[in-house]
Amino acid sequence: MEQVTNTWQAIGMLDDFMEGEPAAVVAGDKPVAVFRIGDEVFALHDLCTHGHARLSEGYVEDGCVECPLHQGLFDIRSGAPRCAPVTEAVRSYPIRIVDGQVEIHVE
Amino acid sequence: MSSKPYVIAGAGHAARRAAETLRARDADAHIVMIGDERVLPYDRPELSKGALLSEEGERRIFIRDAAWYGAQRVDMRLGMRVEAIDRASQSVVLSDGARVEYGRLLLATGSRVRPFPGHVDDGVKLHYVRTVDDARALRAALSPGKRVAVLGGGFIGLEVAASASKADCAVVLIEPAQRLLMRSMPREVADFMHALHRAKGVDMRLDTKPLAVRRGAGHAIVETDRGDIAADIVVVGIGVVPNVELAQAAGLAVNNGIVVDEQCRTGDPSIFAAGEVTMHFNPLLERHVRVESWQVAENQPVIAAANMLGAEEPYAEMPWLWSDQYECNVQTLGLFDVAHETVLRGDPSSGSFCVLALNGAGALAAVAAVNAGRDMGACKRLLAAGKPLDIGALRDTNVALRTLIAA
Repeated sequence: MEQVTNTWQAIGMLDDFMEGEPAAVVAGDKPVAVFRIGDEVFALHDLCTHGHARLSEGYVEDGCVECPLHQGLFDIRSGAPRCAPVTEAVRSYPIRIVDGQVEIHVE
Repeated sequence: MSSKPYVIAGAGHAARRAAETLRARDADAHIVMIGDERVLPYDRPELSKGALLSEEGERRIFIRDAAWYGAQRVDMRLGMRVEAIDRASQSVVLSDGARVEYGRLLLATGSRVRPFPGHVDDGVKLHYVRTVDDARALRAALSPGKRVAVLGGGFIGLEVAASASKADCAVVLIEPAQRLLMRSMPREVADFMHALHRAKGVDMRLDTKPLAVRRGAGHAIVETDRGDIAADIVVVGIGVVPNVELAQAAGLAVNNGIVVDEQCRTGDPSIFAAGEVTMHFNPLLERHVRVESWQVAENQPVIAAANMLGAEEPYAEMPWLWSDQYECNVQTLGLFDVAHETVLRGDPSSGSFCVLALNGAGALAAVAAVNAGRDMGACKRLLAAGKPLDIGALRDTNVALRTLIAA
């Protein structure tokens, strides 16, 4: 039954993701918020470390996503906390783009 | 350049934020924090929520531990009150008689609960939810099947009702007004919260005035103008009053809070105030306001501390607060006014909606969002921009609010 999950998984094409509009996807059973910044794509665990908010519903500005419930800020590139009330980083997942296809690596 | 200490009267959330800022901006500052509770500064939002349900929920309230205050060389005087300010000698007198000189003094004395005004029989315990000790006492009392009477239909009362309900208590909420959240929220939000609590099994008694709390046989009896209500636990959440007495006795201006300008300055150039004790000038609202919220405790002391060190920064934020009840998140930004035109965005029966208030110029002045946090980021920016908005677009949930920002 144990699936090999230590692989890259396609979550869409680059054009499926729009700047300023985070997307919610599920990869390897994990909720993931996907962000596009220019031609780069980043993925964070789709749950704020403070409340129980979906970061995919957050407002994106200056490379950060603002938690929709309590307005804490996370750095989209690293998941690092940037503004209270969040103090703990949110998990960031590796992304690669192969021939326009966006792939995520979740364990 | 004064080498005298930066003294903070109070040791709550605002005091912590001021200490953090003083240290970050001045490595050499001598910082003294004086507070009457024996615990380290803590944040209050969880007191009416997670801290009522578990010890784990309580732990989250302490943002910094004792090691941090030690490492940052904050001279903590806990279990101690500032009894008086001697402005002539620039010193404060503590409850143990000691004097501490200050170069700059920050009043971060916060608020205390408004006590239940009716008669209370001897031997009846009334619970409040203001301090960590309050939360511990209530947590110890809550257990499945207990009858809990909550007096007050504001945010604290509602959050306590939700927590007690989660703890499988039988909850009655008693509110004298004809609807909930009279002070701060539009009717649609109040009605939604009312229906939510009823659906969760809370016995909602609006338009019911508690008159006294009597001692019954092994329980309490809340006497109201609509009859008696028996309860094992009585919780009062009818607001707070700012702790202004220290400032008042020192001859500083007080008016429903310690009066400060937009730079957190009192009339005495050596004395500042920050946090929810302040009646502060808000340049965005163009008037003095006292705001009871996490936001003010978090952000205003940062400005006060900077100005104590010589800066001239204004504190200018739109009031924002949130409340979490059950799985429901409510937020409000700006202040609602009867003169506003309100626009409903989304259908309350769907469980997610916003009430947007427009001022005379047709610009966004306030918003209340129920399970619609995704709209708050855009609303914050629309409110700051102050441009007239198209009501049709605001009402249309197919139009993302963020697209209206640049429009």
